[in-house]
Amino acid sequence: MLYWEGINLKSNDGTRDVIVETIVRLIIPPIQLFGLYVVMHGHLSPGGGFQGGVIVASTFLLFALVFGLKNIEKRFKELHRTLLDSFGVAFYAIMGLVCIIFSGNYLDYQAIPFLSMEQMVKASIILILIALGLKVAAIVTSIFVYSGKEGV
Amino acid sequence: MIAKKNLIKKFIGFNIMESSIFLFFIIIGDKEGAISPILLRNHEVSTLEYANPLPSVIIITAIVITVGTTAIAMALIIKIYEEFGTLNTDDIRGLW
Amino acid sequence: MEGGVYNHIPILLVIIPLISAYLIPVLGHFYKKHTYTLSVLTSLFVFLSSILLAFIIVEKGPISYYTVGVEPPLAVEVFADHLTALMAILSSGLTFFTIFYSKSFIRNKIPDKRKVTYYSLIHLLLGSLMWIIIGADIFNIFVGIEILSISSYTLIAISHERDAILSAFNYLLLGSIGSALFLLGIGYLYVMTGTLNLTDIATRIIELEIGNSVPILTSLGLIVTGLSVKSAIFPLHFWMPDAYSKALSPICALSSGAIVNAMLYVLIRILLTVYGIEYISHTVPLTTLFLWISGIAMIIGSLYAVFQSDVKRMLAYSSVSQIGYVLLGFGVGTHLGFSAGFLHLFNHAIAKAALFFAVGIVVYKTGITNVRDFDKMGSRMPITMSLFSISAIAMVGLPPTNSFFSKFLLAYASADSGLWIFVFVIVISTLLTAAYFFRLIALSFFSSTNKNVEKKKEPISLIIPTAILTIACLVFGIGFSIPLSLLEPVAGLLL
Repeated sequence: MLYWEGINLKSNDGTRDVIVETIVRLIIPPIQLFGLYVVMHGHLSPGGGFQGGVIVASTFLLFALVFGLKNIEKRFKELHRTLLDSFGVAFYAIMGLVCIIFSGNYLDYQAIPFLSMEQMVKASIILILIALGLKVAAIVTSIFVYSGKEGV
Repeated sequence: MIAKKNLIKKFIGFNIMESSIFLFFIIIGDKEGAISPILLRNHEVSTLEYANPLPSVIIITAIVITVGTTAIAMALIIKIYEEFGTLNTDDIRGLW
Repeated sequence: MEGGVYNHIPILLVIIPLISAYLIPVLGHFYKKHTYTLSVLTSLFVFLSSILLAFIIVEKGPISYYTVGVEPPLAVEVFADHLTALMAILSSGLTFFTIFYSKSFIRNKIPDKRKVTYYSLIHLLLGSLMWIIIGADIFNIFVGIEILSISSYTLIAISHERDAILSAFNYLLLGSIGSALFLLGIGYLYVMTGTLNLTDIATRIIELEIGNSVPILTSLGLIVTGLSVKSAIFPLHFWMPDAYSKALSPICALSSGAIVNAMLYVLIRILLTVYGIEYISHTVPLTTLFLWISGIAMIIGSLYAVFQSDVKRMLAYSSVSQIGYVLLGFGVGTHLGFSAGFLHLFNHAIAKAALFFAVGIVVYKTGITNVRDFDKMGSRMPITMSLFSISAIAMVGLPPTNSFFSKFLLAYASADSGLWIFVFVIVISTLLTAAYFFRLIALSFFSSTNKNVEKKKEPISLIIPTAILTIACLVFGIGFSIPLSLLEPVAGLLL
């Protein structure tokens, strides 16, 4: 499988555990899908940005636990993490500012004149939830990776 | 949190305390026979039967804040261990 | 809701530092040099906006603003009145000068990668300070306090020295207990009143007449204790001397000037808005308790400071006693006492920040922190020590510096209410303050030992913020009516 190329599979003492590796390979995509589901349905069912983001992040943590920190560094680089993090927050804040530009109050979704009012509110909320989910995934992974490295 | 001397145990004590506060909020928000606070189009439900969504929001925010504090505390503990070589407050006070 | 487009200024004061706090790491990845420029520009913008806000509020009255387009009390409300404007000017001004000062100061102390984190954290700190100051519902204030605490724990530990990390961890444990108590207090208030908006809680407490019930009393106790831990009021101040003496000087200045003040501001605003002055003074004798605690804090803080041998620890204990002064103003309970207390908050912040900056220059150039080693420092670094001396005189409270007027007003207010013992306490505490500051000044300028002195070059970019703050002490001393005119209407509104 192309995704798994370039990953150094030898762990510290040279052993490989077939069962754990296979299960992790199989189960990471469904968990990510579930996390995405939680994020996208945040306005309907319990969940939302933070919860879904943590679920997606847990897949990265699982990967890091089984395959080692070097591989997670290769797959989810620090630059990408910082970018996702910053743009997640900036997106949230700028959504609020956009509402100000359209002469509403801060975070006043009703003032944006693109679609009808109901749909605009829902669309804005969903966009913000996605941004939050990506951001939280990036941050929780960063926390884990930084804790494991020497000399933070 | 005060009685134990290991730094990590102090911090676990703090987490337990925070979790108890979250449980307190959950208890506040509970109502007998209530439905989760989502508008359903097909059924007309009077507003009295919805559970209160506000404590959930408070708890989510407080959990995120606790996660942040935990992350920083863990980072500080790692640094302290690197510098002092021990996690016992008595030994640390001796080395300071 | 007057003011047109200027209505949006309070919320912009919060959003702009938060956005820049997150854009700085991205910028730092590509252009490290420009992070400093971005931070200075952003904080300058926030500072000027807060001055603009003050002018607007003086003209048109308090601004009340709601987000999400739904009327309060259902929605999140943002409220800005005179006191808010004063605190905003103070906080954003101090942050601007700290960033300006930090450029040279952290050049050698922190590796390059962490400098980006440093600037980003200072912006988070500024954003959360603004959030606390303009927030009008208790949960937003809680979130602001938490973000403020997390950024200050990290900023104290950022130099990665052994002692700094340990003090930061100590501060973290104690501060988290304070936050947890505060959260529990909010929970009790929410259970009894069902709303989170400050004015709405007050209305419901009066309507439902639950003022004497156990949960409300408990919530009062919890909130007061939690916030006292965070603002270093006397018996709960133990984290403060360690954390301040080991942190970097610009962080110390920002911390004692802005963070502790914001916590005090929150305490007083919550107590006065939610519970009301009558409840506090008659039903629960909280003002009396504050009076006695402030008296003890004033004397014991100064006493501890006299016996310190480390300059920064001395300044930290001096902060403990100055916080006592502010509490005295609040405890007296009259309009004059209240205005005098907040005026002293303002003055102390400026003078203490100037002192920490001056000490920071000494530490930067010579690495000396022990009081005894300040021998002949006046000849070695004349400009720095003269600025230090002027700010020290401002702390002690001789005319025409700013603290003289605030202490005089405090003494007048307590004499007015018949509490003559506190005039006595103020005098003793001032004498003790004079003792430890003049000892340092005498040692640096008038020492008679024969030491070999060579003049050290003082970096200009460090001297400029110190000089500006010191001059501000004098300016606000002579023109003490400027902040006072911002405070007078507030006393009428709140009390």
